Amino acid sequence: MEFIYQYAWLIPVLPLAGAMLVGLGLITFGKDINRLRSVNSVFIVSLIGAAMTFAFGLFWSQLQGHAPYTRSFEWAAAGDFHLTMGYVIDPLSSLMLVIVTTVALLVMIYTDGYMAHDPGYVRFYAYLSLFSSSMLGLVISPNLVQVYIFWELVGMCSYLLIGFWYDRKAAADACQKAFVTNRVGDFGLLLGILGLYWATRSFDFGMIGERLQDLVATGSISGFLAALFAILVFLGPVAKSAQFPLHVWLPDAMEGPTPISALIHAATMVAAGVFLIARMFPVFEGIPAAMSVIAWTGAFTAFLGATIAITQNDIKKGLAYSTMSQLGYMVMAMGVGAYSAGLFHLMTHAYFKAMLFLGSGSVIHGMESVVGHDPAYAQDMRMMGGLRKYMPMTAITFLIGTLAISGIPPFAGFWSKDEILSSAFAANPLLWLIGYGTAGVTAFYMFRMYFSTFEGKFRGTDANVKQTIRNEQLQNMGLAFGPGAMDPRELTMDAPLGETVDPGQDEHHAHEPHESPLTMTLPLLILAIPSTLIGLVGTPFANYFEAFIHAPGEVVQLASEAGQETLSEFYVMAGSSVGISLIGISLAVLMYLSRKLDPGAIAAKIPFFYRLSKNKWYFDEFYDQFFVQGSRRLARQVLEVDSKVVDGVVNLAGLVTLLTGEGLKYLENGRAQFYALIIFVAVLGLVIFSGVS
Amino acid sequence: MDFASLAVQLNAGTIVPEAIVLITLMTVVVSDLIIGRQASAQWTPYIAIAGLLASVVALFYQWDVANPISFIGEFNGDALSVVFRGIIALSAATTILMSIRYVIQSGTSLAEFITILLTATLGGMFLSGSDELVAVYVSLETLSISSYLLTGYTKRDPRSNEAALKYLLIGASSSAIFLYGASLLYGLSGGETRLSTISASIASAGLAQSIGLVIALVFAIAGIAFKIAAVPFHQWTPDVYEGSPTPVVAFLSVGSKAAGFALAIRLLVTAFPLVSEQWQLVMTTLAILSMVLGNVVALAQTSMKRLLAYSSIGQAGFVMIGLILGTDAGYSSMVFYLMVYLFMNLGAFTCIILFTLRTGTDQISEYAGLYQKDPLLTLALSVCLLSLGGIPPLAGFFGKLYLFWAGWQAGAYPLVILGLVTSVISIYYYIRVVKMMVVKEPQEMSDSVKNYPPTDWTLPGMRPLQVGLVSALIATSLAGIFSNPLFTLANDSVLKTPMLQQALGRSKAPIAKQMAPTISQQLSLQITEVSTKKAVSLPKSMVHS
Repeated sequence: MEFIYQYAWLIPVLPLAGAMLVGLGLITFGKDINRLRSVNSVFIVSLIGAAMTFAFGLFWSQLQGHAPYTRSFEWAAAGDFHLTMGYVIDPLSSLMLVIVTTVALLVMIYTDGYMAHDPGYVRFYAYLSLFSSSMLGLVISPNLVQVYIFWELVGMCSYLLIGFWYDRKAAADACQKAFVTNRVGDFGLLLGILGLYWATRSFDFGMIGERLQDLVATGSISGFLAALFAILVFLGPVAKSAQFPLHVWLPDAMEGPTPISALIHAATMVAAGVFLIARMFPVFEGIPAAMSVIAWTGAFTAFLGATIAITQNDIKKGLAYSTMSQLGYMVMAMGVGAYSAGLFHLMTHAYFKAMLFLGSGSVIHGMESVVGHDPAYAQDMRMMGGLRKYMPMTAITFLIGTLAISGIPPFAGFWSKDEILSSAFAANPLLWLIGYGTAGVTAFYMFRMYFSTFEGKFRGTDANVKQTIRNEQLQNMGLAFGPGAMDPRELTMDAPLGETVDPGQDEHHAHEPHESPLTMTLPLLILAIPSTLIGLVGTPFANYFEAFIHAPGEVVQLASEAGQETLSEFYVMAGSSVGISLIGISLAVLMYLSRKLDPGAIAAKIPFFYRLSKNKWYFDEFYDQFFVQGSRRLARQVLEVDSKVVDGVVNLAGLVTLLTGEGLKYLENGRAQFYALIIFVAVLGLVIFSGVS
Repeated sequence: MDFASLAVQLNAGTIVPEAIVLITLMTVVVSDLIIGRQASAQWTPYIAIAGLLASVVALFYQWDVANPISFIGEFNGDALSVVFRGIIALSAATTILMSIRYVIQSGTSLAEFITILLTATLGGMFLSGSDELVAVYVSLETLSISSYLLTGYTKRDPRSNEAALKYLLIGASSSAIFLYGASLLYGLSGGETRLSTISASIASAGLAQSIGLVIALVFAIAGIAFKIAAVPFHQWTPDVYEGSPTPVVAFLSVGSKAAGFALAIRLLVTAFPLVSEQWQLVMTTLAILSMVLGNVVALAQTSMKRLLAYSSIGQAGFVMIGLILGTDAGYSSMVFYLMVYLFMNLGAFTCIILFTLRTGTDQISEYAGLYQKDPLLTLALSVCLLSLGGIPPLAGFFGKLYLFWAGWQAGAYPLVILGLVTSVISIYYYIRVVKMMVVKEPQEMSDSVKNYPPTDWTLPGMRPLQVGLVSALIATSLAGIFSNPLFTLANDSVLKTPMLQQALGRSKAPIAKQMAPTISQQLSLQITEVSTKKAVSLPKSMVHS
């Protein structure tokens, strides 16, 4: 088995090689490579498949109790400063490798169907492969510097992929928003890394934690400083995992192709934040202030995401807010010290959320044949309904995902969420209460989503609904016109909403959506298996997951040996959380399936809360006013200063020198007597000058 | 007493390089007379160049000479003088390279031109090592009078005549002033003419604070400032530069100026240590005036030769910074800058000569669009001008960097800041020419460039011009990056010169020797840093201007 450890570096390198080859091919022989679609996709998929096989081998070996394996080499050295690179294979990284490779493989297979008609098919595969490589490199990084490098790489891939359809303005804006927001967090992360290095002279996770404890204990650095560094590092995960207050980019990131939303913005990259917290756990653990900041950030984000998701009409945005909310759960788990619970939820969530996203992609794909290639219509749930008849496989898998995320046993989400909630209860009942309430809301909005998409009657051909959506869109655009900066959208105002303006195109559309091709439904079906069953590895009766993955230094015994007391506690907790989920589901049934309650009437009764949720708590507006407009104002003022004062000084200096030059030129009048006179006067002047001084 | 023992007694070995130049000179004159003008033009220039190069080789062997004092204290062949004599000989050799075609085309005798040029070189070389007032004056006059002759060499050109006359008149005035200053020194020191003993005699006579000494100082400086064209003794420069044959201008701006600086160092350091504060003050004034006026007035010039005249005034101002500092680094930065200046300034003049030969004009506006017609000339001129402006990674940048670094180390902050500001101004007028040549569209081409004939390198005298052009281009481009040998040479020349070490205080010498390599390392580090930074920001500044 030892040799697979020695060659573990191949896991990130294989997809990287694929990306490089295809990328270079695209750069040099663009047209020819673009035509070889299936060759490229099969090549890249088989590379990731090989990486997956490797990952499973490592995982199996770790499961058998193989000792963690670290390999490093010196990358750079200056004086006594040594920078090492390498990889580490331990239970955590082997688990992450398996999650990333399986989801990536399935998403890549799915992509073949989803992107079949896209001209950027090959480029998309190259990006996907590059992303997989970066993400795999990230999870096996043994130190903070390497983490930071891959962290930036996945960020860059995310940027490239969100903006994959860069000719759509919304996508171009979204990728910029994601990039800028992530920069804020990454800056914090970098500061934190440097601060921790300054304090502990190490980039190694375990060593930083150990030395930081010593330093704080001996009083060499104040506890405040240690907490500050920890929170700065935490800013990285805050941006990457879309936690409050840097969550604003994730919903917009849904402008990217749906496979990306599934792979990057649901299953893997956004989980990198949680992964980093897990890696940095030895550091955070010893700093209570940082732990509580993490816990409360997570709890608040979970609640925030769920409340916004209630009112979203765009199926992908709804899922995005639910992702944010679920990530909040994981972060909260980390913050209350429930290391395994957080990672367990990361794993289950990766599978069921990837499946939900791929399902939504399948729905969109089906809808597009009816309403055209316009995300505004194809993704709006008001246009859907009754799709179960047309897309049975998608519907079933989506239902499984919905049940999993709502926490209905025995689906995967139940076990992990329940573990988090009970840990939160042990740490702070208030945190538990937030998580508990959020669970109910989650069940409600997920079933709302399921019912309005798959049940009832199909509304895709309803002209009224279409008109409503169109009006809403125009209104949104109007609202978005701020004073000041030039808005290129003004120019497109007359012909908005992309391809739908072409009336001839509509006639070709079918009147009914169709089920997606096998390449798309197959990954859904495969993902349904772990979404249903994987939770069983972490039941409180026999928690194999916790035995495998636990915080460094923690001793774990299987819960079955822990006695009856915890089990009875579990029944109380589980019962109550299933209860609230059922309440949420019942509400959703009443409002969206049997239509006993009118959601519009309820919204009209509490207009404040409705609008707050609908407008995403006004975060975008606030940031726009405060940061975007503020920095624009500042930039404009600085520009004024630059163009008036600085340029003025420069121009004045230039003018003065030119004028002086022109003036002094006339001292040269060509008369030799005058020159001689100047010489004598100068001599006299210098004598007086030097004699006096 | 036979000749050999006399030579040994006088330590005549120190002037072997000058002797070689003298023999070359005689060979040129005599062979020209015997063979006749037409035939001798074929190969006299090459004899002259060979002789000058042989003289440089001889100088190389003078480097480590044990006893530099010769002719009973008349001449001092120390390391500093060796470097300066080398610079002068090399500048003369390059001048000959570029003058062959020019003189042939102007229809005058080449051998006579070379004879006078070699005489001027001889004067300059002797001036660099003269250690006695009479020797100083004689060699100064040798240099000056040959310069007047060179200036008026194209005698059918009225502008050349006018320039020669003006140069002669102003030169005579300043020469008179210098002579007066020298005689004052002679009187004050009680009949001493050797520079090294003058100050001791004055001090022992109790005249260290006398106003007479200050007057002598100012008068001597006036003579020197005339040679190095420092403001306000610069008035002759533009007129003379504009009227004279261009190769002569090249020699005046490099060789003659180097001799002037050699004289400045030797005279001021050895003869005026008692009033060192005063002479530093006066030289600071001159440096400030030169930097400001030279660079500012250059902005308004329309003729390329006048532009270079003013720019050379400004450049002299930069070099004077090194003189004023009175530190090891100051002197060696000055030597280093002069070596670099030799390449870039002569390169620029070679280009101008070539352009003038092709088109018959030297108006800056006529250079418009030259890039389309003669890329090599454009490249060489651009590189030389940018180097003069101090743009990295060209040689001039490193020269300026060392000068300003030395100034900053010595605490001459205002001078360095002024130097930086005026450098920036100078970049404007240098880049203006480059822009004129490179950026203009084909339809904006000047008439001269439109009629620009294809370059025929096989014409007599063109090949040496090409050699001069290419070697100046290569030296200017690479001397900065591979500056270490030049750098070591400059440092060693200062460290090995007893006169300077004495002036800087003897105890310093060993420390300075240890420091030298570290300084050079530091500097080369800084150089690489700055050059990368500046190289990136360069295009922007070019666009703005």
